[in-house]
Amino acid sequence: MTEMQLWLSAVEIGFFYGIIALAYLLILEGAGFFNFAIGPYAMVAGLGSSWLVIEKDLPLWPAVGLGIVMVVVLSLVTELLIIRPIEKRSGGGELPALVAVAAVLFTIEQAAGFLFGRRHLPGQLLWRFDPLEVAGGFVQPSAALLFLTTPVIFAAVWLWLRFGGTGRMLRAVGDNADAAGLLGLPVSRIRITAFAVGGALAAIGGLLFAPKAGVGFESGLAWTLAGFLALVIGGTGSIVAPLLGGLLLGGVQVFVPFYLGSAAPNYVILLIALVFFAFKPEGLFTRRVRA
Amino acid sequence: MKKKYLRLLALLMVFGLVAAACGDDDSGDTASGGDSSDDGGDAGDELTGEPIIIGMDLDSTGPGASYSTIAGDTVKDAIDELNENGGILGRPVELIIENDESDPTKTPAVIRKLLDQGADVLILQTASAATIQAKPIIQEAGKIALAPTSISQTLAEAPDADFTYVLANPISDFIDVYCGGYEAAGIETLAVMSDATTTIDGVNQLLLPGLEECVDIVAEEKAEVDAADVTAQIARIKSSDPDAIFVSSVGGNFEVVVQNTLAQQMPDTPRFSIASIGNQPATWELANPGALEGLIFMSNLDPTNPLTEELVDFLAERRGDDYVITAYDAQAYDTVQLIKMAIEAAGDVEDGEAVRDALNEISGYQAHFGQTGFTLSYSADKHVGTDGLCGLSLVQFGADNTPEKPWDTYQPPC
Amino acid sequence: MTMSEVHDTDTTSDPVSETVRGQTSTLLPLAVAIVVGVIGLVWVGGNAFRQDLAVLAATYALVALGMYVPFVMAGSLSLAYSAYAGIGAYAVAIVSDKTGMPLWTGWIAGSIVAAMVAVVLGMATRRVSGFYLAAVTLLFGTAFETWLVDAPGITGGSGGIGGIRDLEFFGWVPSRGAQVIAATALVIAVAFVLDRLRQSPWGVLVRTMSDVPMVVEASGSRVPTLDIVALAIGAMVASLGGSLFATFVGGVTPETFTLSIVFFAIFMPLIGGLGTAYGAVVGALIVVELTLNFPAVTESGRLILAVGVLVILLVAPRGVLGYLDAGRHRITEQFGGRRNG
Repeated sequence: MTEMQLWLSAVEIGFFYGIIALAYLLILEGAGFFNFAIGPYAMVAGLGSSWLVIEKDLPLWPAVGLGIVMVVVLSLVTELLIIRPIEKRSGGGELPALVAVAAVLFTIEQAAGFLFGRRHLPGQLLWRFDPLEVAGGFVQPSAALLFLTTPVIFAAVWLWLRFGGTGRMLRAVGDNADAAGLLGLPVSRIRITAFAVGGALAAIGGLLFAPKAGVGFESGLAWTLAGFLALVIGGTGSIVAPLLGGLLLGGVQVFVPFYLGSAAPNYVILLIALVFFAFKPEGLFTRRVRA
Repeated sequence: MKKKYLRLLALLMVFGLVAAACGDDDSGDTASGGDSSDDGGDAGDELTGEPIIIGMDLDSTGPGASYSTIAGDTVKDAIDELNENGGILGRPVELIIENDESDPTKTPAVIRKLLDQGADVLILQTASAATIQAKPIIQEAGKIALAPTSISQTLAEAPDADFTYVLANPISDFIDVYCGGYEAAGIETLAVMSDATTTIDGVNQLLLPGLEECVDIVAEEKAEVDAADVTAQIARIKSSDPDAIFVSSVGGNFEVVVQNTLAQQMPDTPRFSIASIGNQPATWELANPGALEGLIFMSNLDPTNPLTEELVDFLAERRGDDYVITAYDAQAYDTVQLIKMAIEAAGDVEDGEAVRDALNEISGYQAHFGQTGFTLSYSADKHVGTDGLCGLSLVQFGADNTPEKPWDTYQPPC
Repeated sequence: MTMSEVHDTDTTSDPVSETVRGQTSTLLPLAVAIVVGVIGLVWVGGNAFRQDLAVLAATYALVALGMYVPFVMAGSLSLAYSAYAGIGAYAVAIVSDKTGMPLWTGWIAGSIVAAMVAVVLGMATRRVSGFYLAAVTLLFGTAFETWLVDAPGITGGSGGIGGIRDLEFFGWVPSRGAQVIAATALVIAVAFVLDRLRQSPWGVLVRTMSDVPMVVEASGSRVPTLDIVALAIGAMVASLGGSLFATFVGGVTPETFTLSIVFFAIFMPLIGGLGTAYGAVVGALIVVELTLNFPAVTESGRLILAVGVLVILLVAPRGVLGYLDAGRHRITEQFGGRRNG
């Protein structure tokens, strides 16, 4: 049944966008800053690990591990060497940090093209079995893994934010970094944690999604935009909001071309962005109490 | 203190990355956009005299990079071979390369730059739309220009086409072959799935009206070339219930995603493709196991052609035994040979018109692509080299995602 | 806080004193720019390739100047500059293709349309942070590229529009050489005007507003309005760049102005230095040289550029011109010359 396949695709894309949006959310909470380099982080994990396996003949799991480590390091470098010094000099001004993150985005893209090559590579399958048939639709192994992992990731992050020591402080910092500093919270350490966890999430997302259609050095920008939109649509009010935003966006990407034709998604997504940014920038799900 | 260490560590990592990047530089297989540093090989010390300069406009990073770099590498190897065997007229051959990224608005500047650096002959390894922008400049400069893989006859047609030549079968030949195949297989309705690149849009504008002469096109879908999912488009195609599906794309990842989805959603409908995927061995491994089985594509290669076999040996020697030959390799190789023949017949390279007239005299050149005995011929009013349809054949993929055999149902008449 | 303030903290950034000495501080750079421009034109001469290069540099310079306005004067980062340049180019092409009107009307129409787009995108994001403007402008750029291929009736589809008529002013058709001279003059003129604007009371107001929005609000100007005016001016200037390119080359395609020019547009003012509008022009020359003309690095030129910009952001925020200027001051001081601030 065709319709089932469409739903499966929408959920697969939506889960991926949701993970990317969650990575945004964590860094936003910890550092008060939209890290536009998240899409390229996911790309580096997917492309880098494939490159290690295909070109460097590394076994699968070490390559995957290295891919994640690379991205966490990249994320920390972004924070410690670039964003933090620039924010410090600009006294918290927003534009310098925004320009810097745009430069980081472009640099990662070009460096990946240079290091890993400019051709698309297939994503690495972490789990191999024959496609499953579900109510007339097919589920590829990569999709199955994404379906299983995403809820686990969201549950783990929820538990961490709720019960973990650093996790609980994260929200406090996100609400007001100065006040958190005055209260004696280790703001710097919390920011670093946010960037590390956010980077790791982006890496996992990239690794899980790369097998669907392969990954190239320029894949990251589209993911950056999709993740940002998913976060804006969903809102920052709750941990599942990014997931719901992602699913909505995934639905748009699959069902709009189905009903309206191939060129429509680009227009519809621009329209959705304009409407949300202008009239509902806080997203669908907001926290009820907010400083 | 701790912060300082962290910074130092991060800094070291950055340096490590940069160092790794630099160390890796040489192994990159894409053509460098550089110039004379990339000359025709080390054997030049035996050759004396003013070098003959071949200028190549090579899209090595733009939308055409996936096929252009294949042809570009073979042009380099063929020129190296020339230089190892006495050059042209005893003079060394130097290759200069510029990159226009298949952007028609950049092409004029790139062609002028090549001419500025003294190019005697031009090779246009870029998108068709880009080559067309180069026509007036080439006409004015009066130097011959060959497009190894271009399938657009517009380049070789007036106006401003006195010095421009193509090697491959043009799109009008594709239409004849596909229509022959559809008729033989009893296919009456066709669905078309394209990528949204400008290259394919241009190809479709020439190709689809021709196909409509012999089949009904019941669905036309397209998706972004970097699309991760085409389920919606395929679902629309499925609901139009075509006898066969035709995929028109620049190949690469897009074609893989489409073929994966088609194999899953419409396993019993015959699938046809243009030449791209068959000529991109690197993309076959991207497809799901068995997803390409049965796919029929337009090939310019016949592995039993003895000249093709010779070229396979030549490339294996240069690139290693597991190199998979493509039609782009053969067309690039033939381009260099034709240039050599024309310059040698003209006796000199200074007079562009003499070189052109000599190229116009070439007739019955045995090509390294196409079926056995396939030839290329040029004359003053024939700048498309192919002699007939047998530069083309329809080839079918096997279960292991590699081209397996000529399609049983139909082959172009030779 | 705008980029210029951030980066100039150690030089002269007091807007009021700048206004006072505005008269002299805009004329000297203009003289230098004219001298450099003339030297450049002599180098270009009648060489067709260098003429192409010069016009490309002028195009990039106009795009960079367009980015400079909201970037430095209002503290906004718009990422639709590929689309703005595209609008300018297509406006010229459509005027040539569909109407009998003179080509220069396309230049004007293009900048008006680009400004309108900038206003709409700016209005939609006026309540939220600059990250939203960046995202929505990027999405607009993507949708615009899709539309160019998608609307062949208007834009010529994937093939674009070629064979644009020659530029004509009341019977006079400028040669290629004359067009290169005019393009150079246009860039210098725009840079001069923007530099004056920066130091005018309006520019001071706009820059102050990013520092202390409350003060400006109280004095009667609504902050977002000023910001949006700056965005519109930037879009208009970038559109002129596109018009220039299409006029000179005689054609435009959907791939003429792609996303990569957006990143270049951010980088060019930074590389040259944000202290003055001429910095954007210097940045454009460096970018063109690195990505197009410098043979050894065309392949990795973009990577070098990207890393270079990060380094500039971190250790040399005043850019090339800022450092030249500092060097000049040091020399004049050393030799006992008198300067005022």
